[in-house]
Amino acid sequence: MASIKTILVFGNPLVKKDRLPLMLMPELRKAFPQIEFKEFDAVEDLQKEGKILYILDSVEGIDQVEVITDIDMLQVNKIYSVHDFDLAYSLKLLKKMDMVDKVVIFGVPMKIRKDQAVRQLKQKIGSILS
Amino acid sequence: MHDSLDINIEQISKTEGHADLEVKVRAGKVQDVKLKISENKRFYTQAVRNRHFVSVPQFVSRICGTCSIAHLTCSTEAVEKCLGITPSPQTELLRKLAVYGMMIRDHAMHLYFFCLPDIFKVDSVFEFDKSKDQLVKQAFAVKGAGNNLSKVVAGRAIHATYERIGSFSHIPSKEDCKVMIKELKSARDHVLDLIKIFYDCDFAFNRKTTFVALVTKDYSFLEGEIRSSDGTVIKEEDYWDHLSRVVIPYSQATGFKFKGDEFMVGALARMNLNKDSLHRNTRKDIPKYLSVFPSYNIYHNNLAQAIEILHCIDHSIQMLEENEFKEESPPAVRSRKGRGIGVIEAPRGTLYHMLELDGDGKVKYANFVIPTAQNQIKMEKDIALVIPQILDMPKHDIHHELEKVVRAYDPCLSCASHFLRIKWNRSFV
Repeated sequence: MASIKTILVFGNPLVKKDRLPLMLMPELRKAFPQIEFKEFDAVEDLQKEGKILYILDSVEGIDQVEVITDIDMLQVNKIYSVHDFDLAYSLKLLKKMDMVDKVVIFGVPMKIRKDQAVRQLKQKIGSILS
Repeated sequence: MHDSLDINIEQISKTEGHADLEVKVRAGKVQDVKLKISENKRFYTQAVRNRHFVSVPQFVSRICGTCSIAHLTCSTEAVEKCLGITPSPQTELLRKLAVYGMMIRDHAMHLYFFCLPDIFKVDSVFEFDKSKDQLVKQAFAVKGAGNNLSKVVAGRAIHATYERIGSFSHIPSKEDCKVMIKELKSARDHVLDLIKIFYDCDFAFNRKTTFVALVTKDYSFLEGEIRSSDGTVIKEEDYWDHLSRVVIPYSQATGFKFKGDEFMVGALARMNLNKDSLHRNTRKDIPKYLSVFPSYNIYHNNLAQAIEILHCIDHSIQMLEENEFKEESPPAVRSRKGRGIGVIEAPRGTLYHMLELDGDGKVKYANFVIPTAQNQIKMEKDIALVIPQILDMPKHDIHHELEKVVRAYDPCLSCASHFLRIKWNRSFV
């Protein structure tokens, strides 16, 4: 059983493929009132959010909600500018610097119905809490 | 020496593919260079039409995931100019602080995480050995100071919430300011170390060009006159008249010329045109490094960025120490038909937002000019001119050298959406 105080939510409301995590926040807040769902961006300071991180983000190549705990599984984009400082890059950097102990990413598919995503997330978050 | 060579660098920015580079060399001569920005045309100028002005600044701030405060501030200025609103001195001061926070974080991330690997001859910061751990920790401290400054002043480092037309919805407390001053002072020494690294760096590519920047009396990026290195002085509202759009058939981004010729905007332009306006403490502590400017070396863009971090810290400390912020009533905001132009300096250069509103306060027409679009033609030409100098290198090294040139510009090729991509070779939880 784990206690989750905060889930950091990543996404861009103006980009269809990337906005679902943000749209799920109201329903998730209702389902888990004890958890703070906080909109977040990779260029903000992840290391200040603690050494155990719970994250909700869109993930490419999945068709149902998945839980990812291994930072090494994340692929890093080639880096040219600040725009490439994404969540994967940020988490790998924190791991290299021993600034994070555990990461749990609730990965949401880019193409999934909202009600399905909510149902699956409730189950995944609930199973970690129980 | 390569007599004949084809270089195709796909997806210069991100894997979603935002910019590609194609180079063709024949008989030892560069025949063709194409810098293809593939995700710049995003139709914001259309999407903003018929939106009410109240929602426009927050909407267009989503143009960029890193310098959203720049778009927010520039758009707010355009709306205010259109509606005849003059923000209070306190609001102007808070805007400066919010932009300084963004500038500190944005420059710090580019320099520490993306440029330093070039200097230390590794592919990425992940390859830094243990001896560089302290430097990475300094990077977090400087970036964190910038983020916190934006957070305290504007609500968030990205997609800030307090800044609004004519005022701020929240003001920083005395205690917040005190904590912020301490954090900025502690980051200052790290920045001096960073400046030295970029001063000592021997990367060089010099080419005479015209530099253009908004020249502000206190180097605060927000108001003043647009000046160019050829002596032209332009009012903000007349900037568009001096730009000409250049359709680049293979690129989604429109290029721009200034008075009919290629030019450069950004930190190097600002430093070349306005270094005397830097904060007095910045000028006092780094005269040796400032003597480099004016410079035509594109890699000095990164030195200029490091110096700008120091200036932002010094000026922010002064503003936070000398001011106590008080609740203010926002000015009356009424719809009126008209046209407003906002011009500010974003991290990568001069940013222009033009809005035309109808009598109901809805946008009828909009025009945005972003810094990277203004630099695009020069960037491409620089690449073409660098190639003959590096043709005797192995192909891999040529790739790297070309990427270094692109990186020196700190281009803004992509948007704010990032998707996690996973190597699916492990089992799920």
